[in-house]
Amino acid sequence: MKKISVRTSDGQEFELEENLAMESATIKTSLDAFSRDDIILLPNVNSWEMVKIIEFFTKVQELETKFGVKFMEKKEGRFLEAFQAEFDKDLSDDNLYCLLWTVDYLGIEVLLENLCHLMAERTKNKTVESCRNLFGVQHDYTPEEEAEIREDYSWAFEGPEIEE
Amino acid sequence: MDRRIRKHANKARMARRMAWEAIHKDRISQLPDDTLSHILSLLPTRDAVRTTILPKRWNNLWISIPNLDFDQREVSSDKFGEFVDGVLSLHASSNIQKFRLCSRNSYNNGDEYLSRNSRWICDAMRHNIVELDLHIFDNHGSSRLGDLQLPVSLFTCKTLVALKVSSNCMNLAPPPSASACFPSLKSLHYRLGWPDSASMFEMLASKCPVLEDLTIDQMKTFRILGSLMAADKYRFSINAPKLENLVVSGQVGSSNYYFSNNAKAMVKAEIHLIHGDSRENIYHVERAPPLLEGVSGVKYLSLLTPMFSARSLPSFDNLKHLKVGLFRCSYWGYVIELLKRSPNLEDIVLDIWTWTWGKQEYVKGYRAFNPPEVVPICVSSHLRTISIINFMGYDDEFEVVKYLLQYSEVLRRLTISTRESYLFKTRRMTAEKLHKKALKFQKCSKTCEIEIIINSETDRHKNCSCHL
Repeated sequence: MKKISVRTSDGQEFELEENLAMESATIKTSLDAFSRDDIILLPNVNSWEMVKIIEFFTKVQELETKFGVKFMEKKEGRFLEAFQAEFDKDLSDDNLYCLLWTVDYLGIEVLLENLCHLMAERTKNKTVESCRNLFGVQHDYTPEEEAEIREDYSWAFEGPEIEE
Repeated sequence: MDRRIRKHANKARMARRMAWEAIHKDRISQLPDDTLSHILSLLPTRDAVRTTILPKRWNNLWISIPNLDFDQREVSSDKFGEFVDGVLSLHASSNIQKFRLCSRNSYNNGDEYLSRNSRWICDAMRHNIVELDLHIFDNHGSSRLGDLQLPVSLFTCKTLVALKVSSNCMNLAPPPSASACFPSLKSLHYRLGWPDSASMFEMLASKCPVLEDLTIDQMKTFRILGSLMAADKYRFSINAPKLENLVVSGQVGSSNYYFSNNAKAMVKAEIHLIHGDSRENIYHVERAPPLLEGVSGVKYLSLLTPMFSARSLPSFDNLKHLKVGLFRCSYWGYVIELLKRSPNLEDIVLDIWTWTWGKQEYVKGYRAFNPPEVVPICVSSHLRTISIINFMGYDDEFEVVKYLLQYSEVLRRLTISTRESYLFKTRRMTAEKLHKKALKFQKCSKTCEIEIIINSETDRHKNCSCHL
C-alpha cells in the first residue's frame, strides 16, 4: 500500500495510507493533479487536527473489524453511537468547531457526517449565548433588533433552556 | 490543588485560546452554509429556529433546512399549535425531506385537535416529503381509531419513500378512488395495539407495490401469504421478538425468509409451502430453510413442506404438538428424524398426501421403515396421541404402527383414518380386517386405545385443515 505524505500548517509531516488519503476529496484532487511522490501541503490544517483524523480512521478500522460492517459504505446506526462515544470525550467545543471546519475543507464525507451529529448534539437545548460561543460567532444584532426577533418568534423560545 | 499547577493550567488554557483565535482570524472562519444547514437539520426544529438569533447571516438559514421535527414534549402544550403554524407558514423551501410530528391531546377539545393535526399533515404533504413520521394521540375526548382523516395526497404522494405511523385516532384506509397508492414507498413502520388496527394495517400494507422494509410493533400474529409477497428474488428478514403466531403460506421461496433476531415469544407456527396438486411443488429439498430454525422454539407446529435432510433440521426442544404432511414416498426416515429432534412431543399427526404419489409408487407400494437403533425420547416418555391420516394399509405403514405401539409407554390413543376405497385398492382390505390386524399388535401402554375412522368418498380434503 502506497503512502502519501502531507505537511500541515505548522511544518509537521504525516504519512497516510493511500486508501485513507483518498477519502479526502481535497487530497484526492491534489493527487490527481500532481505526482504521488510529492508532499502535499495543507496550510489550512493543523497538526493536532491531522492526528485526530488519523485517529478516526484507525478507530473506524477497529470498529469495522469488531462489528463486521463496512463503515465507509453504509451508515450503520450503532456504529455511529460507538464512534461518538469515543470521540465526544476528548473534544472540547472549540476543538470540535475547528475540526469540523478542517474536515469540511478536506472533504472527508464520512467524518464530516459524524462531526455534524456531534455538533448538533451539543447545540440542543443550549441558550443563544452558548450557541454563539460554540460556533465562535459574533453578536451582530443590536439589543433592539434582538428583542424584535424574540418577539416575532416568541413561540420558538418557549420551553426549557439550559444555561451553560 | 497546588497553586503552581493551577497557574500553569490557566496559562496553558490562555495560550490555547489565543492560538485558536489566531487561526480563527486567519482562515475564512465561517463554516459554509451547506454544512451549517446540515447541522441544523439534525436538530429538533425548535432549536433550529432559535439559531435565527445568531448572526445576521444565519437569519433565514433555518427556513431552508430540509427537515422539520415537531415534538410536543419539547414545547409547552398550549404554544405548540402556534409553533407549528408559525414554522409551516414561514418555511420557504418547497421541498421538505423529513417531516416528523409528535403530538398528544390532553385537553378536552378532541375535534379541534383532530382537525388541526389533519391540516398540518395536509400542509406538509405539499412539500414533496420523502420521509414522514407521525405519532398522534388523542388521550382525552372520545376520538376513536378512524377519526383523524388523512389527506388523499398522502396516499398518492410520489416522493414518499418512508412512512412511520403510530396513532390511536388515525384513519389509515386508503381512499377507494386512489389509483396508484404509495407508488414509491419502500419503508413502512406501523404500530398496532388498538382494536381494529390490525385489519386497517393489513389493508394498508397490501397497497404498497414497492415495499422493501416492513416494521410492525405490537403484532401478535403475522401472516405471510404467497400473493402478498411474490418473487424469489427478494429476501425477507424477520425481526420479531414478541411475535406469538406465524403463518407462512403460499408458493413462497422459503429459503428467502430468515429471522434476524430470536423469535423468543413464538408459540405457534404454520408453514405451508406445498399446495394441492400443483406441479410447482418440490417434495425434497436438501437444506431446511433458515425459517425452520427460526420457528424451532414453538410449541405448536404445522408443516406442509418438502422433506429436508436430517443434517439441516433444527431441534424442537419445546415442541408439544406436531402436524406434518408426508408426500411422495420414503418419508419414514424423515418422520424418525423429526421425532428424534422433538424430545417433548406429546401429540403427532401424520398427514399422508397419497395423491402426490406417482403411478410407480402406487404399483411398487412398499417403502421401507427402518426402526431407529434407539427409541426416540418422546416416543418412550411423552407421546400421548398419534394420528395417521390416509392410511393405505401397506406393510411399512403397519410396521410403523407396530413400532409405535410397542414403544410408546404413555400412549393414550392411536387414530387411523382412511377410506374404504384406499384399503381395498391396495390390500383388498376392509375396515374390519384393518381393525383386527391393528388390535393384534403388542401394546406397551396399558391405557392405549386404537381408533379407526373410515371417511366417506366425498371427504377428500377433509383432513387438510390445521387443527392442533
